[in-house]
Amino acid sequence: MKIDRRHVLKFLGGSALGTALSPLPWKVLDDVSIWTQNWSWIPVPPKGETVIRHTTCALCPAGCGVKVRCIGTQPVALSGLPGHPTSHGFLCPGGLLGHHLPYDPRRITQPVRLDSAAHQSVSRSPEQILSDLGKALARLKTDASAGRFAIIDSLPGRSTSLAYRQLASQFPGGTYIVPADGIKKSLCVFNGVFGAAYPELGIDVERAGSILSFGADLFEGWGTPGRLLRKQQESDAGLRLTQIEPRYSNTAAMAESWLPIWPGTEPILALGLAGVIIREKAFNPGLSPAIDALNQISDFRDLLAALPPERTAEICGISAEAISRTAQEIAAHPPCLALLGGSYSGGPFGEDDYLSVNLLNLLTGALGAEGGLVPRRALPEIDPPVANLASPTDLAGVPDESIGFLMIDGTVARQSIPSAVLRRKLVRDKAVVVSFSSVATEYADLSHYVLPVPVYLEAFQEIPTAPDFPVAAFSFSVPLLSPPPAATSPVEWVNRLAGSARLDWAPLSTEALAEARIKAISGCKRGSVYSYADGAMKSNSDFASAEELGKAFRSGASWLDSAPDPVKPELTKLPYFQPETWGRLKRQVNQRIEVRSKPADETVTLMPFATAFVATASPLAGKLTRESDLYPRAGDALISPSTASRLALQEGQRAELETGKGRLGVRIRLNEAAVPGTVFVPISGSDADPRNLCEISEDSIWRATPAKLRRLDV
Amino acid sequence: MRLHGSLAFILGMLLMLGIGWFAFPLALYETIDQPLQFSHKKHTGEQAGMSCEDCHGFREDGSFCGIPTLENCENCHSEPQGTSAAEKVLFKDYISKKREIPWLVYSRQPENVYFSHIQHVKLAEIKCERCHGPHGKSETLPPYQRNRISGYSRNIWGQSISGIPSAPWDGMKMDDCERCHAERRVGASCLGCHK
Repeated sequence: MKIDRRHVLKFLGGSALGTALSPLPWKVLDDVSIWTQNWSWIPVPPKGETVIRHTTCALCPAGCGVKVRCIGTQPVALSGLPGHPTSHGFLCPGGLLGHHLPYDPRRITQPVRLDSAAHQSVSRSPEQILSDLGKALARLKTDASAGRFAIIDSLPGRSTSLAYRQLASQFPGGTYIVPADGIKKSLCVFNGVFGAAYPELGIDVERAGSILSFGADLFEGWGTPGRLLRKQQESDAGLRLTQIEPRYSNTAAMAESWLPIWPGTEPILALGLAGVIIREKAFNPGLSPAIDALNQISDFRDLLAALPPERTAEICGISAEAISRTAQEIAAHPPCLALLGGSYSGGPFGEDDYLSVNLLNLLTGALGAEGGLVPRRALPEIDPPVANLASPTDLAGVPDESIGFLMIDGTVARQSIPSAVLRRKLVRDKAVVVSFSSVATEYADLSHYVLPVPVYLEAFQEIPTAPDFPVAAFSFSVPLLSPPPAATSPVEWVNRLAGSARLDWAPLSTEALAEARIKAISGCKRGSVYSYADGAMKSNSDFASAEELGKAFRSGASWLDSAPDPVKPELTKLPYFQPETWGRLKRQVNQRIEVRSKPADETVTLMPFATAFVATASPLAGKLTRESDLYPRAGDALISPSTASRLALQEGQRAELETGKGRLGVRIRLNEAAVPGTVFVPISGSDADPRNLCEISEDSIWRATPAKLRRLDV
Repeated sequence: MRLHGSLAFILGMLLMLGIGWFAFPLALYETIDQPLQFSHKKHTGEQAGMSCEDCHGFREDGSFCGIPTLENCENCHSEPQGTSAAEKVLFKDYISKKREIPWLVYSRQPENVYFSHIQHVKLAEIKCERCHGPHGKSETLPPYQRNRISGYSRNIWGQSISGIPSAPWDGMKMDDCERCHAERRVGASCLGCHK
């Protein structure tokens, strides 16, 4: 038999078919892909014994208890502590992925000088940077035209905060700025009403009869995440939560009912509900004298009379029946917690908004009652106190174009203030901005220098009372990893800068300040200490010494103050009983009604909103959520189909959003749950931040800005 | 002529089928002996009467010990327990030198996998044999067969090159985990097993 080319080709064809029908190519492919995962240079956790350690999450002020599974010394997984008294075993998605943060590709390990215009770093040695900053600081003391020194503390109440306050006090007009926390600010209406012993209020959400949330992102960053989730799981009646906001947020999806109101009409709805409660005498019976006193104020009577359910419904864009039903619901399940959202992320509310919504807390008997807003002691002050402390100031209280040197503690990234708000406070073209951060992108468009600090799990950090917790609490976030050599604590940077500026400065240390705090807590003998390792609760007075208490804190523990004795609020101190309050509220409401009654033309209302923390907490999770479309991406614009139809826009189209502050390219996303006439744009740390388009009022408030949205022809 | 052509095609196909199904597995795996011949049967049988958990137990915090350390062996073998060759090697090479035994682990998983023994053994009450087979009754340790490409044990893929398990414990890859979870109607999220 002669073998020719045809035979060879047939043989090869048979071989190819035989190969395809055998496991050889498929198994080789599989094994090669596994082999590529095992290249020696790919970082893998070291092999070793599994060790369980404990710490407190420092990514937001909530301070959740964390169980850390380590292989050797390397944290590989984080989970909640089921018995933890404040977080109850829950962690938010960002908290679960906190161990990714030290490996952020944007991490900086050396001080950086930024050219914000060119969006790049400039080569400069750490010594040169310290020298530059020292000179700039020294100039503030001698040259009044250089502007004032200011420092922004993203997590006030720590001992580190004392170092900041002391530094601010070194300069004439030195200002210590505390960003307005959404929860604390919403409760400031009641400041001082329980006397000097209880300067703060907490929220007893576990025992609340019902919750009325005006845009508070209860399941996406508000307060301590575990508290509401546990209440929802354990209560047969559910949360009895009514979510009032123009967007169908994740919190709205979790609520029993959602009232999609027109942006900016929150105080009108609150006053409308208050009117129904008062007319139907459904308020707390103990408040009758107070209501009688309020009824003596003509502006109060006029305002509530002008807002019957039908009129309120018309202004707010919901039905009158929904208003009456909501009023009945909250009156039937007292105490009703009326919570107002608003933060630097999505846009803060104004003082009049807080007054209007908190009137509901007063009427339903939530003020000072179990399940309502409860008086809370402050953390025990350290002794001896640090001398010369600048008083905390709200950003709104700082005059425009007055800051010559601004330091920003970016420890809690979620509290970030939009650059546009900060920029207007800076002396034009001359101010120096320094941020303490682990990444160069934080305030990158504003900062001139970034000084590297340790991130969560690398830093020893105090966690003071969470804004929402009903009693004072304290714990430490203990380091489980070593930070890069140049990343030092903000207190250490403050010491170095003070030295470089030749200030009259006694160096402080984080450790010494922490010891002083432990001593203060030990000395007060109040409350109890929860140990993370064994879940035991031990009375504070049972610790033999401050050293023993300190040891417990360092291995993972939380101190909780004891509940205060019942104390009655002094209602006469409240602004509600001052006639001028109602005159102002009346004017404010009329202005809002006027804006609302303008016919819809080509304009829409721009509403920035914050996406869930998971999208920003971990570089990996951020990538996954962006690429999977799980959350809206930076640059997306959510509008209702009817608004899209009115503006001749379609899903996925490129469009331009324009306000008096500038323009922003966006991608149209149709969303049935967006209130017509409104465009929702997620905030981002990039140039696409919609907050930079918002009209910011003198009191640093913005929330709903008129904007034009038009299609971009490609 | 046409018949010859078909014959060449079939020959080529059979040759590659033979190589793929029979020669390839022989070439893919290399056999490595364990450092010490260990009889599970002797330890778990009537003579010693031990259970799996006596050596492969759980720590107080619930984590799994895995392969026991030399300290465990020393509890009984601080003095030689007989005159077998394995006993001599154990005593001479490891116990007297205080050197850990470099066991080759048949079930070693990739670095990105976390398997909780306590969830499966205590909570789900799954027997050790479900995943490890009758290993606890073996007289000698089977040879460790290492995949020359991926580096993992043959026990992960399973004995058959097709990947089709011949017994419930044949194979410890993700497919096998998912199959068992599906059979028991137990959900599994990515982060449940992957770090």
